[in-house]
Amino acid sequence: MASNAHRSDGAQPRGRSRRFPFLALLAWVFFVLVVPWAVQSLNIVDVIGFPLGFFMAAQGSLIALLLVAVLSARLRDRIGAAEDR
Amino acid sequence: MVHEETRTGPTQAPAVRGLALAADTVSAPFLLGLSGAVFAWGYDGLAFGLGLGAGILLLQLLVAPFVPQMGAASVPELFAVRYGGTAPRTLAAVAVVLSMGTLLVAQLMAAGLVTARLLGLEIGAAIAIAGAALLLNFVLRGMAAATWVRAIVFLLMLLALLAPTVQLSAEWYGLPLPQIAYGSALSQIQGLEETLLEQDLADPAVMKPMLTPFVSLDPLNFLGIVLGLSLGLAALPNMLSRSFMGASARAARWSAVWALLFALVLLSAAPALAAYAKLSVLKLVAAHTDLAHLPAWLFAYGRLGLVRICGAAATDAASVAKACAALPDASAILRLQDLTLSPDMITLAAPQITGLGPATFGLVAAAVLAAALVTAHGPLMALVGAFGCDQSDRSRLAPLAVGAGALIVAGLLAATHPASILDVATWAFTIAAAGLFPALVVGLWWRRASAPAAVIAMILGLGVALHYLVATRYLSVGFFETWQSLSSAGPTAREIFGELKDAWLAAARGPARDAAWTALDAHAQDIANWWGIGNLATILIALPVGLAAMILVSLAWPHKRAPETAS
Repeated sequence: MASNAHRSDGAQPRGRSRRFPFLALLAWVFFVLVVPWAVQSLNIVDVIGFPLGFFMAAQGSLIALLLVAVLSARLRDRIGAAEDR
Repeated sequence: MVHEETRTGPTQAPAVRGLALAADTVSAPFLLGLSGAVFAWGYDGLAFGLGLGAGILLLQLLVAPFVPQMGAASVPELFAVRYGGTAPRTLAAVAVVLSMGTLLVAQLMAAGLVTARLLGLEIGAAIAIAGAALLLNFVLRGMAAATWVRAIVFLLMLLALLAPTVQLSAEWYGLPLPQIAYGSALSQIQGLEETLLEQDLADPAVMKPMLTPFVSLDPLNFLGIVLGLSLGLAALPNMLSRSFMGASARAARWSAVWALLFALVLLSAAPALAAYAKLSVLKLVAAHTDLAHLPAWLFAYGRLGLVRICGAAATDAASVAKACAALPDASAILRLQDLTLSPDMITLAAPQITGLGPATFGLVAAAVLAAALVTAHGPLMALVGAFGCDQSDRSRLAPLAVGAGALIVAGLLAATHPASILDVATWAFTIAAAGLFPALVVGLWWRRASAPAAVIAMILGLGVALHYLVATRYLSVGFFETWQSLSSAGPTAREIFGELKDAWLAAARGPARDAAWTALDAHAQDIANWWGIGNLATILIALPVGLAAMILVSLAWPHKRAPETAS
């Protein structure tokens, strides 16, 4: 994310770590709404014995959400270091 | 008494908080219902697990950043801090009572079902016992269920799903990793479904192939369920007040990450259990099972009204034989379309359906019961808090009276079995999403969000959601007649409605009229909708209304003072 470049200078700690999480929410919309909706075209592919569309709705999208959660939490830790006391 | 947890809160590691948060997220109704949804609806049933997982991330992204400033102990207090005045606070309390009351009904249904099965009681008596146990717990331990208790309960819930699935994965496929092994079960299910159709043991008109998407729900309703659960979870009152209390922003977001990880393990095991149960049921039918030699578990659950064979409750072999002989196309062999299993029973019955020993059943039942008793504390506490009882530490009488009253009302509602456990729990989340989500999240992130906007958004969101939830399910005939022009029903469905209505009007008083009404009502439930949006997807209507009210009214009627919580 762009805000990576200027991290915790402490000038406006509130504004920084409170930036609206657009990218993370975009990823949320993709994995939670778009991927399950596109199940029919995904099902053409098979992964570890599952049709891909079924796999994504059953666990794949959840794994992706976990990655988004970890990335977003680490990013916010960095840019919001000044705020948490 | 509420503040017990606040005191112990900060010492808990994020991983422990995460376990507790995961227990509150999944809770007993979903532990019982998730596998059942996938069993009954196949792919479409995955919407529920996905919605819960998605909700934890929303909670982390949208709500957790504001945790340090939430000195408020409950959602109504938070609304009072953010918007000031009494109206936002009162309306938030109404939304909390409605959503948490509904969740409590689902919790009591879950606890009642397990108690009934364990003690061999009728459901009504079992719900009374479960409610009494909850009340006793509430009286003895006060309102707080310590974080570590809920953490341990989550481990038990995990065990309830993993014990049968790991065992079966190892036995059937030699790979004790259910999340991967059940892929083989899915392809076996596909093969068996075709075999049953070829052998005339299944009816292509009613069979729902497990892997085919959008048979039970269209994409719109699938997304509606996912949205309702995830937005509801992000705004769910017991999440805010319990799991994040006393945490720094950093601890709050890492608790949510841990919760998502733990919930992921559980949510991804639920479809595996569903697949194994489905495979066993299909095998039972494929074996040309004689109606005189049905397995005992069918009757154990049939006596609780959860198994229907040939349209009648499967209480014993004689009544099954009688019901099946009465069918126009009678058969001495069990066919797939003759057998209806309630989704409520699948998680609990899976050990017996799949032929595992009684030890596994005991483990699963004990874990579900513990989960129901402990996770029901959350809604109960939020409900009592919404009545403003949490400040009155001097007298314990008021919170006790409110708690006991709530349990009695919820218990009476649970005993009427208003719908499946999963449906009732989904309603609870939908009410929270419709009533609280727009005002909460827009209020946290947008400085200009004003108190009048929050009040109007809550009234409209709650009003629309409640009307739609109740009317499409319980007043469906009237709803369809009022909103005919908006319904997605095709010309044939409309014709059938007209015929059924004429039949009902023409029927003589007595059983014939009741039967005609049941048929009319069942048909009306399918077509009573606006633009094809089903009962469980109500949030698709309530959310746009709430968000639009929030934004438009805020612009037209700005707040006087700058709120502290916005960035």
